[in-house]
Amino acid sequence: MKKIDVIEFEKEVLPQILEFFDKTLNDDGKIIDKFTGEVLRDPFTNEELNKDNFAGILPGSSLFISKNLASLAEFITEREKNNKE
Amino acid sequence: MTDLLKLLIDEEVIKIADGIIKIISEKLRKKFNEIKKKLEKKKLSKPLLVSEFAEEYYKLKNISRAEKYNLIKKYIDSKYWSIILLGMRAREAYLAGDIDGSGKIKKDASMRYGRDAVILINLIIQGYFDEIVDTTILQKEKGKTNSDIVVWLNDKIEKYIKFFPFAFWVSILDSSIKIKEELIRRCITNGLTNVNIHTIGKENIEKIEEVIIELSKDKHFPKFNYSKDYESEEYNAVTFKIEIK
Repeated sequence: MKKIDVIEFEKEVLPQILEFFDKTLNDDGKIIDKFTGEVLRDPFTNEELNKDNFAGILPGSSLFISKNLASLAEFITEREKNNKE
Repeated sequence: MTDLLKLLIDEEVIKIADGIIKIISEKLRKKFNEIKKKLEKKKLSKPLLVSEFAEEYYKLKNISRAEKYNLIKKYIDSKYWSIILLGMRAREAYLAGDIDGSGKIKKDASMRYGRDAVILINLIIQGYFDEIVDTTILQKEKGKTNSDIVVWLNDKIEKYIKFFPFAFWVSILDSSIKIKEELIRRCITNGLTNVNIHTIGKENIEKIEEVIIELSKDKHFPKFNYSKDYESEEYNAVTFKIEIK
């Protein structure tokens, strides 16, 4: 089997993906916690996450990130540093 | 059931092609409820990314793993490597003519690390980082110790980011007044005798030339010579070298 780096999902199934993590979209298209109603924010940039700027979830602490490449760059750097890949 | 990845494979909701897993939307829609019932809360072992963004992951990773950088990567503080990666990706986009893509990366970096990161990225776009890589490799070949190289390398990068004394970058957002101030600060306040100004684009080049002409007539500014070197005529990438007499 070839090495798998990323699980990709199509934008259309975002609600189902979020559901899996107990998150959902509110009427404004923002991503919220299903139980607290709190709007999720990118932990690196503090941006509110919505259906358009949401990039995905990073492993570890399940970080929900926006489409900011800096978050990906840090993740790759960290992984390489820890020789996890 | 081991983890999300394994489970999804078991459920045949995904297919593997060229090392990339694609969740097939239609199948996922149909089977998601069934999967969800079986899933326990497990931490992800791989990034879970929307397809349109996953491509960027591979591009960054490919750059990070390029053989040329293997030698020096270990000498660079990891806090800088992320910015350098972004810079190399921005350079790749820029050289491919994707100016918007390059600009987006700078915006992302600025949001995350502040304007200093953009300064470094602009230099990397200009090819400065490759110059640092080549010099580092040369030092290694000449038998410098690893600790010497670490000090030299981090010092060089730190200077670019934080102090940036001998060179600066002019972007479309910089005014003529700002350029003039930058030169006065370096050449009068700090007493430097050599300063480089980097820029890309006809408009920026003209802006700098106007400032140089103005300063050459300014009796309060020291007398100087200057040269204008095209690093890339195709992209109008220029370095002005100011040398105080």
